[in-house]
Amino acid sequence: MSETKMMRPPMEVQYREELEALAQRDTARKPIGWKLSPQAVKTFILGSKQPIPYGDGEITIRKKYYGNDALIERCIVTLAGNRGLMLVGEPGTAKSMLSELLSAAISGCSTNTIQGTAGTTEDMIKYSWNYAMLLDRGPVKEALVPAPLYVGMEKGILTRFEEITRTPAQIQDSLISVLSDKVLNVPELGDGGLLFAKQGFNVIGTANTRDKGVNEMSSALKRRFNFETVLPVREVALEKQIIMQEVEKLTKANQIEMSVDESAAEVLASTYHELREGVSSMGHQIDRPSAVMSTAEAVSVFYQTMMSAYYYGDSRISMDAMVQNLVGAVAKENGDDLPKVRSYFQTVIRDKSAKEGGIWSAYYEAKKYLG
Amino acid sequence: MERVLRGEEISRLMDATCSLSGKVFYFPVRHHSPACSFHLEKVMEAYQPDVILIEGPDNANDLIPDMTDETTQAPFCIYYSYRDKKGLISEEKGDYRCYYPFLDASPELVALRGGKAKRVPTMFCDLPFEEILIAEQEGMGLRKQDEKNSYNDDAYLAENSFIAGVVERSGLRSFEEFWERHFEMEGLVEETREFLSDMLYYCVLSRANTAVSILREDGCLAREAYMREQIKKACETHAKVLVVCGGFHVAGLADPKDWLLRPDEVEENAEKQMLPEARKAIGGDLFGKKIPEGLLVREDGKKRHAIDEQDKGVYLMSYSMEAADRLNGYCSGMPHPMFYQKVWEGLHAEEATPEKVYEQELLQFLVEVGKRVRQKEGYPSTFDEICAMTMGLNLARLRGKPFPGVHELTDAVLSNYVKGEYQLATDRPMRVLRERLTGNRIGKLTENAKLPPLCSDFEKLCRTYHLDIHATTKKELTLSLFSKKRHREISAFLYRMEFLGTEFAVRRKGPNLRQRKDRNLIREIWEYSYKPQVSSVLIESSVYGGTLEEACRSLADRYFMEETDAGVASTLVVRMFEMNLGFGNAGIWEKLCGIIQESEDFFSLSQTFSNLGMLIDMKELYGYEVNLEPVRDLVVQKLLALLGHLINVKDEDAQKVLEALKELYRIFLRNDMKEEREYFIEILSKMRDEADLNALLSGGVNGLLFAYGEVSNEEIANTTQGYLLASGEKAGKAANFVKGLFYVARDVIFAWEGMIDMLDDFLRRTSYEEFLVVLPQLRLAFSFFTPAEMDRLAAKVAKKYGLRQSEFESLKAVSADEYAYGKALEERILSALA
Repeated sequence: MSETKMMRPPMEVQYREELEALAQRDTARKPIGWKLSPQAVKTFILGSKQPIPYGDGEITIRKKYYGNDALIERCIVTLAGNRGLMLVGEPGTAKSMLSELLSAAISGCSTNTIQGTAGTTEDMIKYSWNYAMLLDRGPVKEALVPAPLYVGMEKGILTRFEEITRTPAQIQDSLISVLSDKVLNVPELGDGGLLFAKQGFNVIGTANTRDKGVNEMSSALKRRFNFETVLPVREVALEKQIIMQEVEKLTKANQIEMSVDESAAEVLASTYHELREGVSSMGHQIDRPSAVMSTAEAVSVFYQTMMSAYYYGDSRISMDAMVQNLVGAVAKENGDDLPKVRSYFQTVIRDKSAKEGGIWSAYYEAKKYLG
Repeated sequence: MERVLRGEEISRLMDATCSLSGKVFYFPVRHHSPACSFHLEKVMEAYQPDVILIEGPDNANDLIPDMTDETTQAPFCIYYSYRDKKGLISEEKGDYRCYYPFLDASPELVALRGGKAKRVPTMFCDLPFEEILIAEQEGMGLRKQDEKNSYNDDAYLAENSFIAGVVERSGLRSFEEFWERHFEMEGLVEETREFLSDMLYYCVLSRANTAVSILREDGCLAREAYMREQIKKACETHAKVLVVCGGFHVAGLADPKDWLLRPDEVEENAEKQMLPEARKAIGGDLFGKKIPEGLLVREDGKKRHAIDEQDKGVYLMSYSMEAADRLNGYCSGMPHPMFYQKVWEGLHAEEATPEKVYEQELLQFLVEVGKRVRQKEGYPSTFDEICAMTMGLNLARLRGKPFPGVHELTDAVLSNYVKGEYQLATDRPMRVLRERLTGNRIGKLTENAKLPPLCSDFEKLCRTYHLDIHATTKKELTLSLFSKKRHREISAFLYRMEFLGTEFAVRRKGPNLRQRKDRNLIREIWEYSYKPQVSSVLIESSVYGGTLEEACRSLADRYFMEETDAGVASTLVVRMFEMNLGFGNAGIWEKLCGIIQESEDFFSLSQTFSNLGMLIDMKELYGYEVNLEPVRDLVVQKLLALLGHLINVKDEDAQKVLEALKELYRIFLRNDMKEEREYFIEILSKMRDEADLNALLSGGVNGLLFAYGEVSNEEIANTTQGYLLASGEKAGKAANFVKGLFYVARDVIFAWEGMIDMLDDFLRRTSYEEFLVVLPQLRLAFSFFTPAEMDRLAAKVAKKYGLRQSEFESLKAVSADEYAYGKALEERILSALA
């Protein structure tokens, strides 16, 4: 399938040129099995200040992850070591994106992935069999269907394990011996059944803190990972920038010819930021909703609002539509959340509307949609 | 340091200020920086000065022998105080104080000790403390409204837009990481001349980007004028003068003619030598035709003021690493003092190299933190420690640093020791690391040192209040709290001594505000005695302040900032009230409101509510001005929000809930709380309808609704009867119900006659065993009545049994055995008659 037809191309396809440019210029030492050096991986994720030569021209490496640069450095160093990397955090904090970027840069492949669910079984992680061939030829290597962990070990690439805590604990634990000994035994294959991991293999897990307690990880497994807590963005200006950048990407991909309204993005970024932090820029104390107030949610609310303006409106973003979409995003799990947002509008947005006027007033007027 | 820019003037400045053959050698420092001290030692050796001038208020010169005494151990500080009786600073005629802390790695202390070792005279050369204050504008420098003002100029180096820009461009997290990388680490491997050149270059750029108005308003120019005079004087009598001062001042002390190029000397291509971002950062013309005013501006020295000796004080005090940590908000020197202390010690070990020292410290801290965490949590393992060490080393390589520093250590602990999501429950490794990086060392002064001011303050107050501290025998003191202001002052003084943990005084009787008991008492009886331990605790506490009030306040603030439970925090507010500390610190209210806002614990909030309510009631009596009402109203809102969830409260907690409900009832009687009252009544009504509501609470809720007039006599009667008619185990609930009812609305028994009949009937039907079960609760229920009400009640009961009140009162109580015998006899007679 060509890149243009994919709804969401993997990172190594999306950023193919940047990766090639970095690889060509990469003179630093690489850990065995890595496509790029740690320095180049860092540049790929955090961006370059200056353009670097590529082909006949040059290319600027874009910054792909905003927030804590030190966290990226720790992740890279962890993956070059003996431990797996576990990214934990609230939903929508770009954990999966970060794990894809790391895999694409380090192994050139971000699709070697286990999707953790309540129904994940050990054979979805390690290997299963082509039963027709198994019956025909018995347990031979050709009849074995490798799963992502097997593939990672065999090829010496990273294996991603998404939403690990959604997976039953006993299934999670099947990783323990592999992470320690870096060897996987396939008893059916007899003496030839030992698969030793090639250099370059490691595991990046992601876990959602909202799932805490669903399938708590055993301490034995925890010991085999370094944990990195990915926190939501702490600055409104940065959050606004992320919203605008991500929405622009989405509109471009979906051929929506409408420019991103910066002031509307600021209103939304500030709303999400203040509701998440529990305090407004003017000092009001705010009751925090229990719903996830992530940047990813804000992007989705903004994009929906743009789509409704593009397809059903006059291509101008409306505060009424934005508040309606906000209601949809907030009132999911807990009935108490909507009154909290209402009270936020009645205090913070009211005061901002009085002070700033303009779009804030329109936003305040739209409070009627909060019920 | 990265060569962002090199100008000819920097080398000229180096020649003018840091030449080993020069008359004056200006050594630029940052407070507490081991790298600066490391090179300072080398310069002292190579330059061989005849005199060393050190930046610091010169009224501390007499303390230098004590500071360099072999038995004095850092950390310690110079404590300066000034009482502005003449109003030279402002019309307010306030009291001022500041601290000048010293660690082993402080270049100023290294210079003092080095001078003593080489028998070279050393002296401070800045304006005396009070003159600095006079030269400063309100709210600037040492006149900032901080709890603890520190004498140092590091803020100039850390806080301006140029530095912020450089830090951001370098991709580092903070100024501290920038400083550590370029000066503490790279600086150590550089030659001294190169290090000094980097320091000057950096400091000159900082100065060029500081507005002249700031230099003037915070007294910087006046101080430099004085320092120039002192340097000039020293030059008259000495051949080689070493000046150890904040790097920021070098460009203000040296003569600009000696190093700045004249416009006609500037080469045409000078600007082209600069990188574009550097040109932008420094305003474009630092070394061009337009010289920043900050580098040229000078003020003339001013005449000193005549100040009474008794109005100024300067003492040595022991200090703690904790107080010296920049991260604790005292803006003094550098963060992580223990880490850099260890680096400093390491640098003086045999065959030490900077790389070895830093790597050794990384290992040492990882092992120490690992051990401490393991004792409690069972992890991290040795393998974790190995992985953390590897990570620290690799992070330094990835970041292009010469060796791992504090930031790599922190990252290694965070990644390898914190298991699971980083949050309060898992952050112990990081807390332990922070403690270790700060250190808990407390300095020690030579025995000859003058007493610290806190001890003097204690002695002065004892004299003022006529308290005998010359004997160790116990004395008693009775204080009439509400009739004599002086007695209230003494009470606050004794509470302060108690708060500091001196064991100087114990309160034997009197209102107990912390437990909200005995509030009707109007006298306090204290027992006090002086023991040597009192002095030692005061000396230790002197790190918190120079007066009792200041020490208690900063200690209370510290406890407060660490507190997360609203109830405990409000008890701290009560203690501050007892000590009459005032509540001027807005940070405390902000923190308290934050804790309350976060809290979901009804009991903790109700404790807060009761505490604040009590203080609001008492503040007039004590004559203390404190605006607690807004905080109390915030608690009310939170309590209302949580009330609905209290249906199935446990028996042991029900009483606390009831107390909170009663207080809320009282508050909501206010006219301005109509909306809250209505909401409260709505919640109470909902609670009343709950079948599973705890009996005690049910009694209380019914009583409150009765008091509000929301429930009629009949409804109360029906509900009460429902409980009283129950039998067996449920009979216990009846007593609880009655207790709850009487606790909040005991007048119901007088408002409705049927209540006494109902209770009488209940008691008559109750078996002896059942009676013993309910007796304690019933006793408690009737304990809420005042003696007059008990008489009234007794009269009603007497009338019911056809007795006059006097006859009723003359009845003697029978023993339990007699009662049981009488009751059994009555039953037999009745059955025989039947």
